[in-house]
Amino acid sequence: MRVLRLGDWGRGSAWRPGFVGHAGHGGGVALTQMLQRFQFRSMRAARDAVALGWAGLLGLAVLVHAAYFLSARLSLQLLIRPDGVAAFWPAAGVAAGTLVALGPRARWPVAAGAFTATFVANIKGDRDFWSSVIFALCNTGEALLVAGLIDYRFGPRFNLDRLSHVLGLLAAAVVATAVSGIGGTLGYVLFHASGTPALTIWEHWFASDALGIVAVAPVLIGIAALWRDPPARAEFVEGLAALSLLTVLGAFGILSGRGPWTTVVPMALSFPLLLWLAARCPPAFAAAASCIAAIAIVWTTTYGIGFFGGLPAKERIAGAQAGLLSVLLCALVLAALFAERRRQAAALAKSEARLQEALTVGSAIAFEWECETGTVRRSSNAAQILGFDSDHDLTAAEFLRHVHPDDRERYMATIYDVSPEQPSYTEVFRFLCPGGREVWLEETAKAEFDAKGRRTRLTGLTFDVTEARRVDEILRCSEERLRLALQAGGIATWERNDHTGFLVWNEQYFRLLGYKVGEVNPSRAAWLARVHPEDREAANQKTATGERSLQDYVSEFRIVRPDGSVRWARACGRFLNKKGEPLRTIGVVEDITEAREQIETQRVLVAELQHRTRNLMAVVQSIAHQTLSTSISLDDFENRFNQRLEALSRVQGLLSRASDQPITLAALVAMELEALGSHARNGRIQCGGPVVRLRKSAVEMLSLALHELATNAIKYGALASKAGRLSVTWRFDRVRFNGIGKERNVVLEWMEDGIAVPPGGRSGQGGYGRTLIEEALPYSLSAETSFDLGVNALRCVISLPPAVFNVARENVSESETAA
Amino acid sequence: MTLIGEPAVTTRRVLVVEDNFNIAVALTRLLKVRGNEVVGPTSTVIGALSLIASHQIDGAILDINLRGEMAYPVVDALREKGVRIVFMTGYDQKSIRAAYGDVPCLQKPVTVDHLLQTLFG
Repeated sequence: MRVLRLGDWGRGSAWRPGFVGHAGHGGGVALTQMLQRFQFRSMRAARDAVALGWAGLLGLAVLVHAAYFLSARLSLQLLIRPDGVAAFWPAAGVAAGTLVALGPRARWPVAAGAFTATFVANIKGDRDFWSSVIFALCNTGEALLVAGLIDYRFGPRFNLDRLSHVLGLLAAAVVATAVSGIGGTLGYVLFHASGTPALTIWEHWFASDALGIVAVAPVLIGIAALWRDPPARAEFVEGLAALSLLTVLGAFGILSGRGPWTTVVPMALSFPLLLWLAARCPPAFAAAASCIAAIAIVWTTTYGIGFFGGLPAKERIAGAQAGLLSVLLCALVLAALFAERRRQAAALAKSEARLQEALTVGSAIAFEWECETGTVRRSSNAAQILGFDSDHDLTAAEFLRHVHPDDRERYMATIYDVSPEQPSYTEVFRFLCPGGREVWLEETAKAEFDAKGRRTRLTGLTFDVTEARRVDEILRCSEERLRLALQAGGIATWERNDHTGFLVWNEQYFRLLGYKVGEVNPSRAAWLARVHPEDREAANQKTATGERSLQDYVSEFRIVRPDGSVRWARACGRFLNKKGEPLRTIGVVEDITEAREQIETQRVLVAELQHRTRNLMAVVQSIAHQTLSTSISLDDFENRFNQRLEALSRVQGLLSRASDQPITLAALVAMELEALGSHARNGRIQCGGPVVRLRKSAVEMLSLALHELATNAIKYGALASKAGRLSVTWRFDRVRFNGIGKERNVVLEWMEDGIAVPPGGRSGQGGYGRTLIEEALPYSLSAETSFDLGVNALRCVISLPPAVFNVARENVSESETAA
Repeated sequence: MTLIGEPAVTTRRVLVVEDNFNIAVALTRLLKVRGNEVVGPTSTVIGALSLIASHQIDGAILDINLRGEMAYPVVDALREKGVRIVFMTGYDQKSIRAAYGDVPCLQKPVTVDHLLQTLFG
């Protein structure tokens, strides 16, 4: 922290506001601002001072005192006669350099050290008390002023590796020494009787102090910089070697006696060394080198050695000072310039590397296309992305040839469409790599134009978006599949954000509720409006319960559409939550109308089957009763009971197929006659009539009756004798008016003739069969029946009411023969 | 259990509504054997309603499905007169309309004794 402002010391006794106005910004506003900032800095400086500790501060003061004293003593040895001003005052550089290097926390120790050292050195010289005090004050103030100006201008980031900073140090040294020179001149004039003109004294003071600061302060500042940011070991060794060489040269120049070559040769040799240091090492080394050179020059000058040795003292000194200044300036400026260059080169290399890395990571090619020559420069990763040899420079024409034929025209049109008004474009296209691989590229570029508006150059980035396209495509396909699946399954979906309450329905949801897609804004109210009023409360309740407990729920409800149709729906909802905090609710609603109808059909079928089976059992039970009551023996019972059961079973078979094939009267008659076996096939049976489709409820009773008639015919009737004949015919009766509408019965005639009268009379005729005809059919089917048994003929007429059959609408006159 | 003091068996009039002739006949005979008087049998709703109007009835045995017509109107008429009813059906009890769920229901085939037990206790 090298923070020192003018105000830091200016708040002390030596502060003169007017001076700041000249040296700094001039004007009251700037002054006020500065004062405010100084105050803040001052507080920080005080804190830093505390941090350093009193022992540290004292130690620093002693060190500075010692260094300053030694330099001052050295300088006083090099006094310029006759005015007594030192030719070179490195002590000023020691104080200023330490201050700049260490920052504001070093202010008071440095000030104290400089003050006491100057004072002691002067007193021990030939100076009196007051002049010593004035000189001490001037020197101290000078160092503080340099450090203050630099801190004000550059802040804590002051470093010698910038040209502006080096020039700033020079300027600060000039200003500070010019000011302190005035004080010093006053001291000489007032207390140190001297015949020299005041201006000359000031000049000498100014020159020696300024040179001192410029020669020594950079060394200290550079060493501090090295301390903070150590250089590479090689750099350090190299710098030290060059410095040693320079020291040897300097010593050689000083010690090897008089003679032009003794100074010229070392000087000539020292310049390459200085250049070497400036170019290859941190500025601290160049500063140290120039300092060593300065000491050597001053030494030789003062003692009249070498190149300057032969000249009169005044010119010698002026020459030395000029030489000093040029050496110092050259070394410091060169070092700063080289450092700047090195820094820029490093930054450039770093940014280049970063760009290359970014391009590689981002699968992007940077390119520049010279339109006139058709040559293209691409970043080094282009070869890898485009699949070419890295040493093959792909021209614009070659590139275009590899663009997918389907995309080429569009791509070229885009490029040729750029104009000074619309210089940039972005285009996505496929590129066919030499190996046959296809990559998707997205190119964003900008064109440059010449004065005539012709395209001269295209620069831009080409991204490899193959992977992104592939993922996009997969996502798109998967979403499409899901959408189709949901659509095919008639599944509606919804999703609600529980924070915003925003609800989304898919298209199917609108359709399920009987809305046009987008007709309403999805809402619970819009949903409930279409739920069947009887189911509304339960459905709403179920959802609300799920919301409270955050448990999945399933509810079934009916939907009433505007056209009045009713659909059954099953809704499943799931609440997505994070630690009990609801986030989203998603759900599906399925149209289950068909499924429910199927279940209902199945339920009816099962019930029907159960009903039929149970009824059948009851019928069997009752037939057993009837048969038992008319049987003469157990064998007789067995025989007749089995036959009746067979008849029952036949009709059950017929009934079970009835859903595929309506049962006609012809089929029923044919079935019962066929059951008679060979008798039915000897041509003595004649039967037929129109198509009459029987109701299932009537089939069983009618077949039992026909069975009894047929059984009787073969046992006792027409089929029992060789000459007997049987005719079964049916027809539609004449139309009657029943009070509501017109109807007509179907009349079935069972005619037997040629019945042989058995020797023992016709005892078995009648019985259960007759009961069925005369009682059961009227009872069960409301049929009108007659049963006339003559001597050798039977005429049985059964008139069936319309409730028993379905009239075949297509053709009433159609007839069937049960053969 | 004692024979003395046992109440005299009163003759009960039982309405039989059953569309299957065989069952109706068998049931009628068995009821009569057990000393009941049978009203009917009849196979239609209209027939049953006219019998109810014209006869004193103590109990009724009803088939629910009469030639495809449900016997509920018969139940209503019988309830008005406070007649005990038992359903005799091939269907499940579930298929009986909820309003008639309190009527005892026996599944076919059924014995007459079971019917009488259910009807008169």
